[in-house]
Amino acid sequence: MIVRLFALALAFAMSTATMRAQEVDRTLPSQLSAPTRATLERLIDSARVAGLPVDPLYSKVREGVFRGADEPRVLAAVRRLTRDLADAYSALGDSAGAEEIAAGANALRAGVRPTDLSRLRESRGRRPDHPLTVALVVLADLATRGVPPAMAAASVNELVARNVSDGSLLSFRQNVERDLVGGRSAASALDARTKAMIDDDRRRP
Amino acid sequence: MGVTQPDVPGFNLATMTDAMLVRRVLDGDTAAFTTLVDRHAAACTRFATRMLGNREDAEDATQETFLRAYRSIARYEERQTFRTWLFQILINRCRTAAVRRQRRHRMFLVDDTAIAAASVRPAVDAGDLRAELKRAIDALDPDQREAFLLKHVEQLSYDEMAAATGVGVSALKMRVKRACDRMQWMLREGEASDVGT
Amino acid sequence: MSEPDDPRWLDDVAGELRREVPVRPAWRARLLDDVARAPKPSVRDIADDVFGDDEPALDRGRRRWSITVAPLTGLAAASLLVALGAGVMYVAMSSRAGADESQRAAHDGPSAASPQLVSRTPTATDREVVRFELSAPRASHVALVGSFNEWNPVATPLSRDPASGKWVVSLRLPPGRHVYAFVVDGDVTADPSAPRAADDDFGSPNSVVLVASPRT
Repeated sequence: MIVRLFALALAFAMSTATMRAQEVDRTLPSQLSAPTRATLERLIDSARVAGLPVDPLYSKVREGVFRGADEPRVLAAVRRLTRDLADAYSALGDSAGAEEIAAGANALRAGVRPTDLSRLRESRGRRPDHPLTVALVVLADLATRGVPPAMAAASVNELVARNVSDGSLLSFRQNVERDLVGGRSAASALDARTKAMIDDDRRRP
Repeated sequence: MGVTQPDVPGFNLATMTDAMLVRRVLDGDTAAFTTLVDRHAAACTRFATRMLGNREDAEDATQETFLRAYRSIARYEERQTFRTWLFQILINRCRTAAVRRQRRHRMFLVDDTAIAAASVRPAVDAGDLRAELKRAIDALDPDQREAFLLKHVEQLSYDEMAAATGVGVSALKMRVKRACDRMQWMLREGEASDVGT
Repeated sequence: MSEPDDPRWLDDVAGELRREVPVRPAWRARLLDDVARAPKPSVRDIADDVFGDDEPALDRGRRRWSITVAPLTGLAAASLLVALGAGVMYVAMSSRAGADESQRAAHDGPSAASPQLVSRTPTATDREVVRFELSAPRASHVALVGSFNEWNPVATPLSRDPASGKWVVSLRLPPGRHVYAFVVDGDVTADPSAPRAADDDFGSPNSVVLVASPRT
């Protein structure tokens, strides 16, 4: 069984070789000075050893170079992201996937508290096939648009606890955004859209 | 809708014992839980702040504590004071928060600049006595700090401390003594340096 | 405060540490709000491990991505062994059988978010085709930058769709969360119709696209 799986995996891996061009490049850009690259390598290696996803860190470096940021700024951004990834990992637990951790880190960056992430994880309960990635993306988005993070977290938590689908969560986000742009208060928009989503959910067969 | 407060003179949540309030919470009275929060939040916040060294982590830990207490209030047994039971939860939340922070700090061991950047402690003025005290407390080994705070700040009995920490009384006494010796040394020498005990 | 050699020093220290740390009204309000939303506790709620520590162990080492992939855990683990650093995790995620309904991306409801998920047919490489579009009638050049193309502003130019007048490009992306932005005549801008990433490291926000695993 193991041998068969191994052979299958090998074939699988071969067929993915063509994807390499569009995977995250794990080398550091040559535009950066040698000392900066050395510091980044150490930081990223520490993160890897701690069990954190490193692709977001490489991506952050490349983004910084693209945007013309100076090296101290790139370093600061990578350190900050590493801290956020670590806190997200702690809050979301060992079974969280790389995407969830990255999305969780971004939610923390938007002002959501680690306890809110832990609460989401508890609300999701024992459903390991149901990552919180979409819920966390929605949460970060709402907080970035000026919704008080605690308020956004409470609403998203309620929807997650009710097992609302990812598609519905994304619709919810879009509707709240529309309401905010239309001048509605965050509290009123969240309240109305959360209720509507729950009612929709109840009516679903 | 749950239990409502009867319009009876003398009925006053504030005069009820913790155990009575817990029973009311189980009957559906959320206001009874609010009274418990108001009664114990200050002590919990104080312990967590001294234990964790910063307000933000302390508030998170205390928040978690009360929520867990609310969800599991049916598990509270009256043979223990509510405060001890609550502190048992709080101590665990503080230990968890410390682990979380330790992981974050560990990752930066390879980069000295990053250690400074990662620190969440506010800058302290060396001339400030209160700051010296904070540094001394922060420099204690976590087990010793925990025992010291429970004994001399929160003033739990050794039996209550044993129940809350899961550590035996004689071990706790040793930790308190060591904490006192160390604090005394640090405050006398004027710096929070590591001292073997 | 009395000197440390003074027998009263401990009383003074304890007294100082016993100083009240005020409870912030906002903290209290938030807690009571959470309590109000929580299900009411009853004598039947005794399953919780109220003291339990559900945090990851301090000394746990390298993550095993395969833990998050079920039910094909064995295959994913084996794939990881042979394909280090090739980003096989994405493929492993997407080859998960019976991805449940909640894994579908933005198109369950009528209010679909840009970018548009065009094709759900799993390809040989298990990537989804995702269409990005931007309305910028006065622009002369628009490109896409993001985590999927190393933020390279020349890798993914958009072209103008003659029918709609919008700038469009379709890309094959692996399942997962990707961060991106548009470069419009040299200016970096977020996608107005996509979820935002909280990110002001470099001065302007990015957008997020979520690509779901294809249903098998």
